[in-house]
Amino acid sequence: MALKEIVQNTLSGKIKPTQTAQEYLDKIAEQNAEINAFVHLDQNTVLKDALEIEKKLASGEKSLSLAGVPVAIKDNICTKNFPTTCASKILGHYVSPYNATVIKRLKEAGAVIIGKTNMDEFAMGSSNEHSAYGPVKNPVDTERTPGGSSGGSAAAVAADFCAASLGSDTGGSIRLPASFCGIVAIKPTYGRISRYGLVAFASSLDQIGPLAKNVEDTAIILNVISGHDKNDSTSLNVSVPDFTADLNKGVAGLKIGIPAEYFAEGLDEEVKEAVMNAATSLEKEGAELVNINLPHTEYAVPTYYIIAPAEASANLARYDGVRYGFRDSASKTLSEMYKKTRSEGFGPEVTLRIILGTFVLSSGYYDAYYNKALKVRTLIRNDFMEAFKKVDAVLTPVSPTTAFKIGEKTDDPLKMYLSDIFTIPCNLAGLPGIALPCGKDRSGLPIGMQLMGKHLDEATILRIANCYEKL
Amino acid sequence: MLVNFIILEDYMKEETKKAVAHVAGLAKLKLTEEQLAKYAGQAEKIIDYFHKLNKLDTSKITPTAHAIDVVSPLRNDDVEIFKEINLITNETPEMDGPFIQVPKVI
Repeated sequence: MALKEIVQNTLSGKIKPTQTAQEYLDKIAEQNAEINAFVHLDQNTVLKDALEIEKKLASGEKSLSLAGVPVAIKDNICTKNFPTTCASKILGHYVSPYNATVIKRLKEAGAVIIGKTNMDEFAMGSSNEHSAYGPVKNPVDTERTPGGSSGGSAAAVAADFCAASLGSDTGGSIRLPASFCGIVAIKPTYGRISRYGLVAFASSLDQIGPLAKNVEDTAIILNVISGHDKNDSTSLNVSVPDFTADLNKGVAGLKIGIPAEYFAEGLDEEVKEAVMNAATSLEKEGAELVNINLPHTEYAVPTYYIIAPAEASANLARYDGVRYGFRDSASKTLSEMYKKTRSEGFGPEVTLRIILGTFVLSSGYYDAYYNKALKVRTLIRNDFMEAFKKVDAVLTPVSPTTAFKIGEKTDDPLKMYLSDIFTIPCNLAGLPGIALPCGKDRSGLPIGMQLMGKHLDEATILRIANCYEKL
Repeated sequence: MLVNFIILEDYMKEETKKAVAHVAGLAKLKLTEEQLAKYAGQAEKIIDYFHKLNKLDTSKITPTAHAIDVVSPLRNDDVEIFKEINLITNETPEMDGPFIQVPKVI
């Protein structure tokens, strides 16, 4: 059932939140073992929360915009009633003493948190194969990855284990899994959604975003979770429009940029064809396609893989076994405890990125790597600012390929990093970006297209996405 | 020439291993010899890829640490009492009364 339908049926009394929750829980119990989308489930907690919504409705509450909607939450977003482990051994069975702001807003709107989803450890990965809880399987083809790092959140929506989910996106971690699983997801403008309660990976890049079955559902969730938060000093103190208001305005008169650098060598031919067909379809609806250049695109991956690990090395310094999480209990000194706890607690990809991040920030290398990367970030951002003088949105593939097989890229970190080539620039520039399906390859695997918009202009990319989806 | 290349390659691998061992120490990570070799091999390839950025002249470019131009906002220094301290201390591996117990510093 679509999200909007659940809300309508709940508010009209046709179905009860406890019924909806039980149906989804039963489905998860039956099928999650094969997909491994969820890492924390608790039927009693879910039904108790659903009952609270029923009581609110019975008392006359009518303004619950997500009444009874089951929403799954990526396991790096803090929840009081479920553990938050970031799919890492180092956070053990950690239970947060507070709800993230996005959780608070979902619950106030009447949503029911159905469980916590699997992910790449500390959001570091593009395939959900780096999890202490094992890999997630793509529901479309269980021999393939769902993409990462929000693989569990995407798989949960694709497998209809929930009506919508939340993920986090630092270099494409919502958009890539959405593309691989054939669903819709949006990474908002940096600062649009509060990061309070999101376990930090790279603080200048991280954003929470919704994943759902269609553009309208995505916009509904975005409405609920967006907005300034005094607890997050990077959240923007700007008004939040109704993201559903312009969905059906069509694309006549809009200019859509097609950047040459995203359609060059290395892009799978079927992906190229599907995305170009989508562009042509939008042109037929009245949009103007404009050839543009984003000349520093090829430098985005090395730039990101300097900046993100650098920030991560600082953000993950707190995991030391002192106040929470896993602690090596046999250590005789504090220093030994730090080292053994961290070495045993972190997985190999996280360890590699901490090493890289520490290296690029270390004395003698800071200017050559980290400062250099920050300057290239300026160039990448400027490319977009120039482009947006001519166009309203930029259309690209989400990924050079469709979903790859589990195990295909795990031996070569650099090969894995190149999966993010089309999604990373959006994070570096702080822009909003939406991923939605635009076809299938000959194996039946979903192909995703991406629309990037100007800062704070989620409305335009939602509008274009909705127009395409309705064709 | 081939012998010189192999010696140079081995020298670079040893230098990378030393660099990785150094940063692992800074990051409070304890690596086995096998892990050190593995991470050094991976890091060398990735750091080499980073050198692609040297093709760009950025001498006149200002670094961007944050993509959105926002000045750090201020707020009133209002105290809010967090009443559920037990939810925090429940997560601590070892407590001694109100204190967090850890192994000796030295």
